[in-house]
This record gives sequence, C-alpha cells and structure tokens, in this order.
Amino acid sequence: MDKQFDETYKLSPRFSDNPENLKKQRFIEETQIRIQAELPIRPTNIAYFETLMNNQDQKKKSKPRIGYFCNMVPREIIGALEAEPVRLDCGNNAASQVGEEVLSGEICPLTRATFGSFLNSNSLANTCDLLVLPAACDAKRKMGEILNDFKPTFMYNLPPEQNFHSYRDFSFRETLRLVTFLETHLAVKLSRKILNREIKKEQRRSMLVRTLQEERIKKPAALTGADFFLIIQSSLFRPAQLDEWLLETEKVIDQIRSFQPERTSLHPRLILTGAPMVWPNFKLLNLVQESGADIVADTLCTGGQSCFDPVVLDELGKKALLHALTNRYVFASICPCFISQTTRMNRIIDLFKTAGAEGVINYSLRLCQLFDMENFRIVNTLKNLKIPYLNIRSDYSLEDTEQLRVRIEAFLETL
Amino acid sequence: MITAGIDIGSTTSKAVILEEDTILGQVVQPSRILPSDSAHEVFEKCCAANGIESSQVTAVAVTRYGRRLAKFGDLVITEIRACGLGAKLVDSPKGKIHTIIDVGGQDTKIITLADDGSVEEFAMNDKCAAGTGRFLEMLANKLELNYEEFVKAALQSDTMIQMNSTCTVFAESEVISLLARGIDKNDIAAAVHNAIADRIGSMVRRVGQKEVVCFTGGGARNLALTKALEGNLNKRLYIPDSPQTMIALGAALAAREKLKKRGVT
Amino acid sequence: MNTLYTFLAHYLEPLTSCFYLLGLLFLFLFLSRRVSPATWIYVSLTLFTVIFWLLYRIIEEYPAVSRWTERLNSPLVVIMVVLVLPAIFFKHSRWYKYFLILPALLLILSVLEIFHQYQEVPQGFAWFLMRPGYLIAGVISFLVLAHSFMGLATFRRATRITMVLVLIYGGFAFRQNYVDYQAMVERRVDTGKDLMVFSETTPVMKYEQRLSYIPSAPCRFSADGGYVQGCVMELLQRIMQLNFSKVARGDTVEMTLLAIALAALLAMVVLLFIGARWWCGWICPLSSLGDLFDFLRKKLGLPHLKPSHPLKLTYLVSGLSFAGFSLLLAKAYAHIDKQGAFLGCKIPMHPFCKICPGQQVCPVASKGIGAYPPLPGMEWLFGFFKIAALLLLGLFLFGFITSRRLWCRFCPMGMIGGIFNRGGLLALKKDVQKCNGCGVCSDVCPMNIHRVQEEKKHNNVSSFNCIYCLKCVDKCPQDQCLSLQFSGKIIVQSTFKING
Repeated sequence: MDKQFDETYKLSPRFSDNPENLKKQRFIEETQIRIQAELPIRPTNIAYFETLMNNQDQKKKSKPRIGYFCNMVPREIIGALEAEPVRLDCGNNAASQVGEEVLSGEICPLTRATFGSFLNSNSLANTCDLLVLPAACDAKRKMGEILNDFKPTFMYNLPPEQNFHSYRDFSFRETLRLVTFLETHLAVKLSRKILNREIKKEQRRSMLVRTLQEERIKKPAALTGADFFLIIQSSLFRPAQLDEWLLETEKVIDQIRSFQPERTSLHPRLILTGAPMVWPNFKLLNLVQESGADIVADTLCTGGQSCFDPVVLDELGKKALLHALTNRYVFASICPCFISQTTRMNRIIDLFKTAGAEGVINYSLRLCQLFDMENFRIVNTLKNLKIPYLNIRSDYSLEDTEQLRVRIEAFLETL
Repeated sequence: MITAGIDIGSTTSKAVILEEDTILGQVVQPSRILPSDSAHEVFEKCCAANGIESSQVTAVAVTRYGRRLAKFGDLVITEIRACGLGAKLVDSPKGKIHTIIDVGGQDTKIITLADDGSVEEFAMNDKCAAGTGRFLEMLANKLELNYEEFVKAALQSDTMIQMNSTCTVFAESEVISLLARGIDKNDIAAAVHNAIADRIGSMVRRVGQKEVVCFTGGGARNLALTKALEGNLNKRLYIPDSPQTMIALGAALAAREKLKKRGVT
Repeated sequence: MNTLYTFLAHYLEPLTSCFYLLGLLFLFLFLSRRVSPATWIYVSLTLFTVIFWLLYRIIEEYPAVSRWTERLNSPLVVIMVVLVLPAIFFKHSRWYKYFLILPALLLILSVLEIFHQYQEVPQGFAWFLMRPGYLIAGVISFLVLAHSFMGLATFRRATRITMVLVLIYGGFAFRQNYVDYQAMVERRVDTGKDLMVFSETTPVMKYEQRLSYIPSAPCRFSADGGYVQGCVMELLQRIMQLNFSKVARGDTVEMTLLAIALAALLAMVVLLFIGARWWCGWICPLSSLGDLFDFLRKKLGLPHLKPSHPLKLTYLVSGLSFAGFSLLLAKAYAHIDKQGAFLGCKIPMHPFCKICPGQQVCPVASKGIGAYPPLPGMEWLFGFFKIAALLLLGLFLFGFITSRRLWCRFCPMGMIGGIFNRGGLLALKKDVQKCNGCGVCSDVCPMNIHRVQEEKKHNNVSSFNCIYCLKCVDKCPQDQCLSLQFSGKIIVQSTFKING
C-alpha cells in the first residue's frame, strides 16, 4: 500500500518527561472527580464508569490497541480486526501546556493536549500500536505527520462536502484504504461476519446512548450532564469492555426510569452545542450545574451526538457493510469541518423543540476557526427564531472560571 | 418597603438604599480584602450616613465579584442584571434606555435592553485590561500625571494622533516613544482616550446600539472619555447623575422585585 | 334463513366484491389514525352501505353491468370482515390476537370450498357458506391485522408473495363451477393449443368461456388468467386497435369494445390517482418474481450494480420507444387487410404482448418450466418481434439479477403510474429538519432515487420512479423524518430502531 507520509525528514519521537507536569495532570483529573462526587444525584453504579475513566492500570493490553481521533473513524472495523479502539483526544490542561512547549503557535488546546499526551512516554496514547486520524480540521491534518514520528499513522481523508453523490465513492475508497492499512499492520483479514457482529454491538451502544438522552430529557435531574458525559466518554476514551459497559449503562437507564423527581427540580433547561469537551475539561458543565441550570441535551461529538446515529444495514456483502459504515460516520456527522452547517443547525433546532428547552449554550474552543465561523450563522438563526442563546469561548485553563460564571448566571437570569 | 443593594467591586464597594422609587442614600468606598467585610462595612456605613436602622431594610441584594463569597444579604444577582435594572430608574429625559455602556476599573460591559427593560444581549470584556479603566490609569501613570490632570490634558488637545497598540502593556511603550519624539502630553492623553474609545466602540457595534445609549460606571465620570466615545459612536450619550452606583441601585431594585413576587409589601 | 339470505343478497351483495372490500379496508386504515374509531366505523359503514346500495340499484336496472359484480357474491363474507375490521382499532388490547381466529376460519372454509368445488357443486346451505371470496377476504384481513406486529419489510414481503399466488395462480384456482373447471383442465392438457393463440381467440368480452373470480393483474398470459387483465399496455392496445371508423358507423361490436376499454381506463385512472405507483412496489407479481433473483443475490452477499445515469436513461428511453412503437403497430392493426397485413407486413393483435417478457415469465411461473413454450407463438417469431422479445427478456433478467429494480424504469405500466406519483393522493414526505444526511434512504432505494436524500427544502419527496416500496421509510434511523402520507394523513413513519 502506498505510504501516506514521506519519511525523508522523519524525526525520532521525543518525550518530555516532566514529573511536575504529570503530577499536575493527575491533580486536574482528581479535582474533577472530587467535583463530580459532590453532584446531588448519581447512579449507584457510577463507580464502574469512574474506575474505567481513571484507572491508571489500563496500560496493560491483551489485544493490539488502535488510537483514533474524532467521531468519524468507524470503530467497528477496528473491533472486527481483533483490536481495541481508543479515542485519544485529550482534555487535560496540563497536557496542553506541555504540548505548547514543543508545538509552538496558535493551535487549539485539544491538539496541544493530545500532542502533550504523546510527549509523556508512559501515557495511554503511547501504548497504542497504530493511529488513525481523520483529516477533520487543519490542526489534525498536520498532526498526522507529526504523530507518524511516534506511531504508524493513517490519515483518513474526509470529503470537504457532505455531498452524497459527488463524494460517496471517494469516502468509500478512503474506508477501503483504512482497511488495507489496518490489515497490513495487524496481519489480520477483515471478515464479513465478524464485522457484522461488531456493527451489531455498536448499534446497541447507539441505542443505549439514545435512550439515555431521551430519558434525561424526560427526567433531567436524574442524571446530570457531567455524569452523562462521563458514562459516554468512559467507553470511548478508554479501552473498555463493551459488553460490560452496555450492561452497566442499562442499569443506569433503569435507575433513571425509576427516579422520582422532587417537586422543586425545575431547572432552566438548556441545550449545549459546540466544540468537544473531553474529560477532565468539564469546566462548563460544572459551572452550569452550579448555577442551577440543567443541560438536558447536547450535540457534542464527545457527548450525546457521539453515538447518536446508528449504522443502518440493508445488504450484508462486505462492500455494502463498509458503505453503510461510511454513510453513518462521514455523511451523518455534524462536525463543522464540512462546508455546510445545515445538519448541525437542524439538530440544534430539533433538539430545542423536542426537549422543550429554554435556551442554547453555544460553546467554542478558543483558536478553533471552524466553530468560531459557524457561530455567525448559529447566532443569527437563533436570533431570528427567537431562541435565547449564550456564546461562550474558552479553552482548557481554569483562570476564566469566574468570568464564565458571570456570563452563565446573567444568561440564566434572562430566561 | 426599604431595600438595599450592594455592589462589591475589586477596588470600590457601593451601597444604595431604596424606598419605592426614591434613593434614600448611597455610599462609595474602597473595598476590603474579604468580600464579606466589604459588604458589611459599606452597608453599615450607608445606613448610618442616612439615619436608617439596618433592621428597617427588608431585603438586601449583593452583586459582582464575591457576591457568593460575601455570604451576606438575601439575594445574589449578576452585575449585568443589576445594571439593566438600574437603568429603569435612571431613565433619561430623551426616552427609554436601550443600551448601557459600563466602563469599570477592571471590566467593560455592553448591555442591550428590550422595551420592557429586561436584558436582551450582553458582552463583557473582563479578560483583558485594554478597554477598561485600568488602561487609563496605567497610561496616566506613564505620563506622570494623576487621573484628573490626565483627563484635563486630554480635553485640551485638538490634534488627532493614532495610537497603534491595543494591548495595555505595549501601549505603555508606545507612549514612551511618543514622548521621546516630543509629542505634546495633551495630544498623547487624547490619543489614549481615543484608543480606548475605539475598543469600546467596536464592542458596542458588535452588540447593538439602540437609542437611548447610557454611559455609566467609573469611566463615565471621565469627560474626555465621554467625548471620545461620543465621537466614535457618533451619538450623544446619556450619563446618569451617579454612574458609579447604578449597579448597586439595580441590585436594590432586584431585591424589591423579589419581595413583590413573594407578595410582601 | 332464506329471508335472511335474501335480505343480505339484495342489500349487501355489492359489498361482496373484493374490490370494494379492498377499498373499504384501505379507507379504514388511513382514517383510523386521528378521529375516534367508533365515529369512523359508524360513518364509513353507513356511507358505504348507502353508496353501494345505490350502485346495486343501478346494477338491477342495467343487468349488463351486473355481470361484473356477480363474481364473489358471498354475503357472509361481509359479515365476517365487518367483525374483523374493528380489530384494527384495538391493536394494543389483549384481545387483539383472538380476532385472528376469524381470518383463520375464513381460510379453512376457503380450503374446504376449493376441495368441494372439485367434487361436486354443493347445494343449498353449503353453497351459501362456501365461496372463494372467503379466501380473498381471509388473506386480506389477515394481512391487515398482522401488519401491526410484522415489521414493514416482512409485511410487504408477505403481501407480495400473496399477490403472486393470487394473481398468477388465482385464475387457475378459482372457477365458478365444476363444469368450468373441467373445461379448463381439458384446455391445459391439450398441449397442441398455443397459449398465445388461445388467449387471443378468447378476448375478454367473451367471458363465458373463461370464468374466474380473480383478476389477473399483470398479464393475460397467466395460465387461465382472469377475465380482467390489468395490464395498462393491454388496455392501451385495445384502445388503439379499435377501428374508429366502424365506431362512427355504429358497429355494435366495436362500440362495446370501446365502452369496455373506456370503463377500464376510467377505473385505472381512479385507482392510479389513489394509489399512484404503489402497486408496483406491493402488488406487481412480475417484479416479485424478478426479485427472487435479488433475494438470491443478497443471500450470497454479492454486490449490486448502481446504475449510472446513462444506463437509467437508456432503460427509460428504450421503454418508451418499444411501447410507443408497439402502440403504433396496434393502431395499424385496426386497418389490416384481408391477409392480415398492413402495407405488406403481417401485424398481430396486441403487438406489445408479443415482445413483453411477461408473456414468457407468467406462463412459466403459473404452469412450470417446459409446460408451455415460453416464447411467443411460432407464427410471430420473426423480425422485430423475435429480436425485441429476446432483447426485452434479456433486459428484464439483467435488471433483476444485477440491479434490483432497474427493469421498473423500463416498464410502461410503471411509467403511467409514475405520472400520478407527484400530484396524486399518495405521497412520500420528508421532515427536512430531522434529516441527518446519512444517505441510507438513497442507498437502499431499489430504484436508485436520489431525491429523497438530496431534498433539503421541500416536504414532498415523491418522484416519478418511486414504487412506494417504503424501504427508505423502514431504514431511516431518524424519528418521524420520512413518512408515507395519504392525502395528508400519515400511514407509516420512520422511527429509530436497531435493524439490519
């Protein structure tokens, strides 16, 4: 298979073993655990998800581990090749500081943090054998070559337009390239039956996440936004045993269903949309919770939207399965890296109506041009539809917590 | 019914005591280190200065930094809402206030109000000193003038010099280089005011500037800034009689509205 | 008992025809969505009884018309179906499954009937009970009741299989009496009789010689097909073949032919306006037979061809060309001379039937391979007809083997139906705001229609080629995004479910 990265100027992987910084990273995670432990109502089996998220022992692995980014890489293919997929987007502020020391420039905190996690020779990221990176934004596109110095990386190119008929074949060919790359490096052939089985498992995850979201809309206080994100992210961002996770999540759903809300739990109901919020960067979720509002639904690729669309199968030939995967992962995505944001706008408005929400919080990461530029249309459309909204732009650091708090409280006061 | 509003700022704290629509008394004084101390002090001082017993006050609302930490009062609101409410009582003779520009020592707020006086949209600049009163203070320092002299100097100038820096720190260096080139201090002072007016003006245009536009906060007492801002926005700005205490006034109003909602008279 | 029967026979007889039954069921299906069921039952039953009582009076006045309604006269069918229909409204009650006993009973009785038919004509009371209408009513009510717990795809498959059996074999199974059945057996055993010749020498108006209950919708070449051939091309050919100069001169035979053709045309237009091309996706037995290849291909996991735009256009244009040319020949037929030639060329009656793959597929399906020569009568196997027949058979097989429903882009019947797709009562609607652009609808569409996925503004995504198979509605993972609507009322909607 043709090499994507020309290795003429390949550098050896560099590590920056800074024990102080590692302590800081740990401290940030523990702070978030503490903050979440004080949430009023938590599912009884939340400890399972917390352990999944915080267990430092996950470096051990029984199968090859493939690191991937974003929401657009078909996990089922990785699973069908007897490997475990782990999403490597990092949300730790200290990691982003380390990354900044090496990767200079005005790069988004997510990229810096992810790179920072690679600089730590002992991190989860470095236990991966291969990496798959969708060319979603400029930062990720250039990071592919940089990460190729660390581990063999595959750049999964995305079409610029979600134009089904112009780019369907292009995306399908990219998926085939991905399959070839993984098959070559893992020395396993992709089997139709096993792929079908993996798809069915992921469909179950999709159904459970949807059910969780629906139940949260009906009984918002039963599960707070931060716990919802924790449950979803523990299965995506850590090597998780999917079967166990599915069982535990079903228990959470049962608990939500039997929840009896107190009479005074009438929070302002909000929809959250915008840039990914990765553990432990739950700053905004904590603030909203502390201000007394409830994020009932969200369109974040690290939250409710991550497993929202199921893979829909019609025919069961290998090609047809790969087509179905591409359709769901690439063409149904609401990421702003595509030229039209209509699907995201539709989703926000649809969620707002279905959830009976009172306002929208539009969150963008500092230095992310994609989300910043989408704000223009979102703000004007929401204004025209008389939907109250709040724009927040922030990065991973906690220094602007109070300033964000003022804005959120002022926004809530206007509802 | 008598209510009070307390505005705990980082440099100064203000208190206003309100009965129906009359202001019984207002006090501005430097803040203490702990917000609770500031709150207590300013409230007691205001009561004492106007011959009111603290027990006569039915409800107190606290706002701005430390509003939650002060552990004082019956209601906590953000300064944005307080600002919006304050505008209700200081209605200009020209009509209802729809836009408020609040330039404080550490932050600047632009708030647009709907016809019924509720907050529609707001923007805050609280992350960067440029555009706040701090900008003026630091540059006044660099010109070796105190604040009043600085303002007077700016008013005396009629030459337009453009300052390039948007950052306070770099602006300081630019001021020094202008001085070294022999530019008149008055002109520099005016340029500094224009620079800050530029930043505030672009914030206003981003949010909206429906008439009547009210200019308040500590910065509103600065005539040079008012002049520069009016020039930038090409509008007459309405300045209330006591711009510094408008937020505390709004807080007192919020306390009263809460009581009314509860059915207390 | 006799008086009851007389009462029923007179006043409910018209209701016994299976067409009216179908219409009634369909009406209930879509009416039951919104308004209180009890009101609708009451209103509809009254309305229908009144209307059809009026029609019955008309039938009594003009006995010629009555021959069309004599079939399937079985008053008890009405009672049975009326008892079954309310079950539609109690879908969620525990008693629902007990309603299935009634269609089961109907089916048992119909089997008994068939069995009895071939022994002896029963007399008296037994005759009163057994009629083949039971089978139809039984099957239809079973399908209607079962659809609420079958998935949409399974329901459609069951319907299509039923339709193949009923429409292709129905004519064979249901004869009005034993004598007719014996005559039929004789005809079939006599292999000397070419099916083509046979069908042409007994055109539809001579119905006494071929008495059957079941209209054989796709093709007159289903062995012993019914007396009404539903093929649009046949109808158009009949109209073309009329010698209008004879009509002008008042020739009774020609005028009767014209009257029949026009009546059928009117009926067709009404049905098409109500159902547009729906019958292509649910009833057409030719496509159901062709889809057997598709089923095999799917089971083997083989990919299918996604036809390019030029290929689709080829099919459309050639379909129109073949149909047009055949109709031209049919027009020429009206003016053949004594030798049966027009301008020196021999022209057959129903020229399109000679080249249509239906006349090869249907006999094979209904009689078995090798029972009849599958190709058209030898006398017509020359020139245009020979080449066209083989070409069209090739297109048919190629379309169904490699490319799902590509043939349906050729079929002239489909094209006439397609005209009513946008503008008729049936419509495929999309809530654009709920669409996430995943493209599954376009991928599963057997007609390869892009509009359903691409449409981002308007609600109506019906298109000319849509056969309302509802695969897109079934597979769409977004709640309430795609829906089939009849005159604004939602019949089926897409919902999120784990499928595949």
